[in-house]
Amino acid sequence: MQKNGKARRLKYWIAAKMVMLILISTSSFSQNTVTDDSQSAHAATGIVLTEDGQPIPSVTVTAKNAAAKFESTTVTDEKGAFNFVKLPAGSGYSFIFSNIGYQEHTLTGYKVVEGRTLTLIVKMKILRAQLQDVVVVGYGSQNRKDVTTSVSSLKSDQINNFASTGVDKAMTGKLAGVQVLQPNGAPGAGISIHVRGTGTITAGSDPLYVVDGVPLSDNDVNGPGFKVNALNAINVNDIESIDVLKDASAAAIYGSRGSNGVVIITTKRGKKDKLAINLNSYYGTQSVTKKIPMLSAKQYAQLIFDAHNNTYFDQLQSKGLTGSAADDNATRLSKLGAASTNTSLAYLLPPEIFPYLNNQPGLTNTNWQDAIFRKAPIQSHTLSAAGGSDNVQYYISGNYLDQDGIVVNSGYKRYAGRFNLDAHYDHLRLGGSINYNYSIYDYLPTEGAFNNGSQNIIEGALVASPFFPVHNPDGSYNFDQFKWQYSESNGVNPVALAMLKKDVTYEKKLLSNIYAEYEFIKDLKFRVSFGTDISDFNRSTFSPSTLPNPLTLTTPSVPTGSYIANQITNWVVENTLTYRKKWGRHSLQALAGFTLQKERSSASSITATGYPNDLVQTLNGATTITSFTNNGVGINEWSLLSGLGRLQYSFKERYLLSAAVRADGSSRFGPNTKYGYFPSASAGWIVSDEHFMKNIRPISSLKVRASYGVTGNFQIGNYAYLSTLASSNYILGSSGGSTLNPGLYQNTAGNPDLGWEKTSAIDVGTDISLFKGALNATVDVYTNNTSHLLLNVPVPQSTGYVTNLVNIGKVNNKGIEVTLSNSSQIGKFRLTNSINYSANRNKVLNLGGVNSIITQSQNVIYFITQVGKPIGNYYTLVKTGVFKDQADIDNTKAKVPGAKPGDFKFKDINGDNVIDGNDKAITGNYQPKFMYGYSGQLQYGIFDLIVAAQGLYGNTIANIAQRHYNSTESYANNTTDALNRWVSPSDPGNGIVARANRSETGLNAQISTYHLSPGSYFRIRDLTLGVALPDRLAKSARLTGVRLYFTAQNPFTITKYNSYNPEVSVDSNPLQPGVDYGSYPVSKTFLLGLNLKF
Amino acid sequence: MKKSISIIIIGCVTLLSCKKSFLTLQPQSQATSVAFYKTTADISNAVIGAYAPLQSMYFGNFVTMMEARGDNVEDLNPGANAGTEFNIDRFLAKSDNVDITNAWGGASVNGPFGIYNGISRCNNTLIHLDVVTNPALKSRFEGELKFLRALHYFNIVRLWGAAPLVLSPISADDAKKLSRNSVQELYTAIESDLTQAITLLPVTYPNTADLGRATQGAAKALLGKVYLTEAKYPQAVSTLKDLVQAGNTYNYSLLPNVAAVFDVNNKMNAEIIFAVRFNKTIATQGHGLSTYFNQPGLDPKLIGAYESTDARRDLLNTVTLDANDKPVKKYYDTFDPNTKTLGNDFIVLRYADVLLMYAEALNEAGYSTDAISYLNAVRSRAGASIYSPAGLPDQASFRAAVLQERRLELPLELHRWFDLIRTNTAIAALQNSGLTPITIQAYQYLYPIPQSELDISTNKSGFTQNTGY
Repeated sequence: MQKNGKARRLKYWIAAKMVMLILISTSSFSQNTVTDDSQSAHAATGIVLTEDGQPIPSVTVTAKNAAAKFESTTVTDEKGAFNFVKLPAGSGYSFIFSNIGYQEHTLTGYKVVEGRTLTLIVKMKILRAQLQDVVVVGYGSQNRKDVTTSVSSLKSDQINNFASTGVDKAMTGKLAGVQVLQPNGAPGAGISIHVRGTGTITAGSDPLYVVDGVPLSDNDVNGPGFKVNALNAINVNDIESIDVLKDASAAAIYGSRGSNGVVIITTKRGKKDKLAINLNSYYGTQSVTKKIPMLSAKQYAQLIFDAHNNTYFDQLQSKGLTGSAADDNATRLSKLGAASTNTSLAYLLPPEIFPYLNNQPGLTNTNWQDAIFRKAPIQSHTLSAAGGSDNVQYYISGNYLDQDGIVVNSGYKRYAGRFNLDAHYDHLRLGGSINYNYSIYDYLPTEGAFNNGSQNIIEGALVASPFFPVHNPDGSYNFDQFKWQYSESNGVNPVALAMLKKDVTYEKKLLSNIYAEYEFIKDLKFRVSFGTDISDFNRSTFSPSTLPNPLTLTTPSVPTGSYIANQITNWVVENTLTYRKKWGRHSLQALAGFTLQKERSSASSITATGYPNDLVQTLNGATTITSFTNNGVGINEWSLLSGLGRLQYSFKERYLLSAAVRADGSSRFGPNTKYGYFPSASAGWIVSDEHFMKNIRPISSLKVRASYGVTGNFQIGNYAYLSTLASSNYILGSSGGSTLNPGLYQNTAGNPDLGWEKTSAIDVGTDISLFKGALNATVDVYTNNTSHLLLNVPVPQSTGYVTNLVNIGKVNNKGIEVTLSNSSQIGKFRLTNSINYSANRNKVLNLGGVNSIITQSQNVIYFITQVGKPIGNYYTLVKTGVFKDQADIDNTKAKVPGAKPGDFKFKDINGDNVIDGNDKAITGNYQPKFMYGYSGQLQYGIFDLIVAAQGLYGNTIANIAQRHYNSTESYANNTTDALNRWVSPSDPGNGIVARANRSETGLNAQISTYHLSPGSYFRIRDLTLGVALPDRLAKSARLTGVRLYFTAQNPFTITKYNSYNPEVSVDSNPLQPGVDYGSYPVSKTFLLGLNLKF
Repeated sequence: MKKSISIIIIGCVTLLSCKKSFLTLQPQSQATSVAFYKTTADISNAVIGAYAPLQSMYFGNFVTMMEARGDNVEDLNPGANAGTEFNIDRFLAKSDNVDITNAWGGASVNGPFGIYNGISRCNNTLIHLDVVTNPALKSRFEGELKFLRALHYFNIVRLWGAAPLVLSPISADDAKKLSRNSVQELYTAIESDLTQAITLLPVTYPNTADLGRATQGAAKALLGKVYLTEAKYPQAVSTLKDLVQAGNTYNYSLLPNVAAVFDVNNKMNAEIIFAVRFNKTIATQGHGLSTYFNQPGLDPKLIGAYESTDARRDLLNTVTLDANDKPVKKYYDTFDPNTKTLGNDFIVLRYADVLLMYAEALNEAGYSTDAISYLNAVRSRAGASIYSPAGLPDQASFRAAVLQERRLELPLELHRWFDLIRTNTAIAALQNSGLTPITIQAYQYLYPIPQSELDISTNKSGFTQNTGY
């Protein structure tokens, strides 16, 4: 027995070796090989392989001999083999190989000799045409040809032939209907992806990300207390494909998490029998895309002079007095009856301005933008190795990314590794992916006001006075502006803020997935997988004694510090059973599955003070803890239990039907609504395969499809259905010994009926391929109705609550998406183009009984979301001009309280002849009317040129940072717009900018259309010129490929937007998008890269 | 092989699916109301929770709505907060004004808390008092909650007039059907709560750790103020008399030095009857410096009205903390270096106020020179000259003197606007102020009902806007 077993194993071993030998020998052959074999009689046999050496089944092979008027056709089997049993002997044979998705291949000039067998080994090239791609659809994949839903895809070559720091950057502008925005330009900062508009008001609007089958946590983007990019962990170079499930039918397989769309990222796997080592390195520099033109020191001095004088004249006038601009401060104080010691009154002139007004030479004129921005280096290196044997395949990669920010002392570093392994033995397949990622963020506060504790460095630099230098002569930072009197801003030196304050976050992230798959009978497979998404954030901040604090205004100050730790563990178990069967003209694929997912996050946040000095900057150096709590601190959990099923049926490979359903149970919802069901169905018809279409030559393929599905949104927080208690403490006790008494109160009423938001969507689309694939078009129209909206509906405040979370309200998104692509070859030129266009219209249909929801962002700008209108409109006064003179004020019906000549006039919306808070109107929206993208590739011999461009049209941005730097109030520096200000009735400026006035009269400072700016833009995202080393040279260097490339990212932007970044949006609340409060600018980057393949 | 794999599969599926509790996750870092109101300790926490919203009212919106509205101080910054406060000061505010809405109901999670939020905290706790086993403690809790609820409704009725009277927890659907109860109904409820509170509350708390809780004296002082506002003068006299007559049990007195009353190191002194408590060294328990207490735009006529010897004049001078922060001395405190907040208590009721109320009530009940002594007690403590009976020969002159004395004694303590309304002198006062003169009409004695509250009501005939808005 034992001997027999040994012998059998030996036999297997020999057989396996032989197979390997054959494969090795064939793979070393060139494109096609002809050998003569004398064993059998006048036949032709062979094998058809892909370029990677995978067999291609169903290839039509035609043997033709024109002279002998002979023609015979056969089809390759599953192993790619074909066989012509008998061919008439003779010369002049040609063999034509054709298959959908591959370039037709012809071999000519063969001779069939009596008694000999002709053996052909053919490698066919894949045709890059959209219908032939494999599309990942969630819990499986399909040929693009068979897809009946709306899915947009990017393949690895479209992602990796240029340098990009993140998945989102690689996606931007390339997928119709997928809006990828970079609202904050800081390295590693959060992104915003919207699939087909916004369908939600209070719940999260991020799509679900699925990486190698693991749905990622929706929680880690705010892990360290600022928004980070959820896709940071994934190295772009590791990506095989990105597929975005756009319609509800496609996304329904993800049920309660599908309604914002699903982004499926699939990473590269090793391939059999081929060791490929790939090095991709680039190095470059980044700089700010534009600078905002600010006033010079002299211009600013003049603005201050005018503004303070106008205040002086206003105050004199109100008291019936007169004075002159030449009055000195003592005169002003005595005339207006104030104590002579005052230095902070708005009508006094700061002495700092006079040297500038008198044109003294050699004065400080600091350009604060130059001081905070820098040319910042960026580099990335990825080394990967992929390969494998018959039974085991692997892909290993390592990446190092070091990106300095364009604002001093900001940056992002990443060390990432990936190991993907697949093995199979007999009917069992096993494998897994491990992706470990270690990131370091050097964060800077770049959102919010420059003062009031947010200490925004960007806005701080714009408003900073050019009178003061960055450094003192001794090298220390200059803080004179911080204690500046005369009613000027007390901004902290932004360079010092950036350089001295430490704010570092370390992120460790493990994305992993292991699976086992067993094939019971042919094509009946059971798969179990276990995935994790584990994030660990550690953030520490320290504000040293060298930075003055708002209390003392001087240094040394008492240092403060904080520490935030956040651990998020998300795991998922998925069990799926798949079956595929073909019989006759019928083809069926079935999927059934059962999954469990759970997340637990545990966060703590401590702020402390009383550090004796700056020597120990960690928490142990502090003496007093000021706070333990912060939003989101504590333990948070959610769980999801789901069953899913899908059937895909096709008849004659022409009539396609698909139906899916998912049932989700979630811990996030009330006891009465724990479970939800999300069905979908879709159908497709490949019209071009019909006989009547065969004669319409230009159409090589035409598919029409329609789908309907229901998806959900569960991003509403973990315990929203429960009536919760909040702490509300109070002080009792004697004067010296008063102590804190813990108090509690019911802060929400709770709602046991709370359930998911439901989106039901209809999509109709077509995929057309013309002129043998030279031109491809995909067109989709859709309408998505989101109902049961999770709304914090206002309740009568006499209940003690302001809002209650209920499922009510409806939003509709409808739109059209068009993608056109073509590829053509003229001589040595190969050109591929892809253009996409999408337009989405968003409309609120119901808000649960109220007509509108008015909210306020950043305490200054109002938003309105109103039935019949899109979500999140700016709700401001409408500025119509500037009062030219007193007669203009007198003749204007709508009175602006307190306005003087040079102040803004406004539209009287409610017609009561008084301008006030009731004259607000809808004045714009952040959502674009349409967006478009272009990507093109031109190849000529060894050269290639790649262009990617993107644009938005019809959106408006609320640049409320202007309320400081475009106010002409002069406490902050202004843009050069202030040069066109109203000065006098005879010098009224450009009629847009108000007069300078330190104590504003009228309503100039109220947020109005003056603070809105058009956001339309067209941007060249990427321009890459590559040159490949000719194959012969590469080979001589023992390389299989060498490509050197130069890339320019964001080199040109055409926009009327008056600040840095027209994609900006400070709030992630869907009700108030599009606010710019001095956000981190985006950068333009020039880099040089090298790609080596061994 | 197949068999063993099948077993593993079935094992995986059943193992994970049989756990029923998988989808029932209770919050671990957040308490839910289901498990609350079960023990005496819970109720004790809930009572503290009922005091807490006073902090965001009295150093918050109330300053705008009760002080800036009057003629003592005016808003100098029309651009700040989109003019929200400025509009209240200048009588431009409409029903969508955020401060007015916040004072009415307020935010439900992080504040600022409004009055109805405070009322709901009392109501939610009052219905669960039976879990308190100690009868004395139970009475005290009931007294404290009813005092607080009465204070809330007294503020409601003075700011908005008729308003829904909610005395137990109410669902959103029921609240939509509410009418505005009449002013009389509100006052009946306030009197009832205070009358009960007087019997339930202790005169003093034996444990100093409880200092700051509502006392019997506080309930009496508040009830006196309620009666005075209602023009129920005999009742006001008899209620306030208990606090002022010689040898009374409450032992409130005027401090010899008026500045000492406001000293942050002398909190809960003998003059303080009820105050909203703060402690700046504890995070979130201090307060910021209110705009109207920071280099305020004070009426020069107010400043000019003090006699040179009057110590109260100096309380309105400012002290420099830093370039931006210059509080009046009445609210002087230094910022805590760690929390960056101030720690003054906000005095709601103090003995000088009681004396002046008593004098006013006596005079309104019938002119008699007896009342002058209470007026003079306040004046002489401040170092001001005293009135003789000849100087205040009749009811009208006495009435004017008391009103003026309240203005001098209590500026920036949120009394002035209500004093002007109570005495029906607001129109003239705002017209004759040394600040920007404003012409108002009688309907502006009340604030507009928040628009959001009107919009959401389904009872359009019973829940209407105040006249004029």
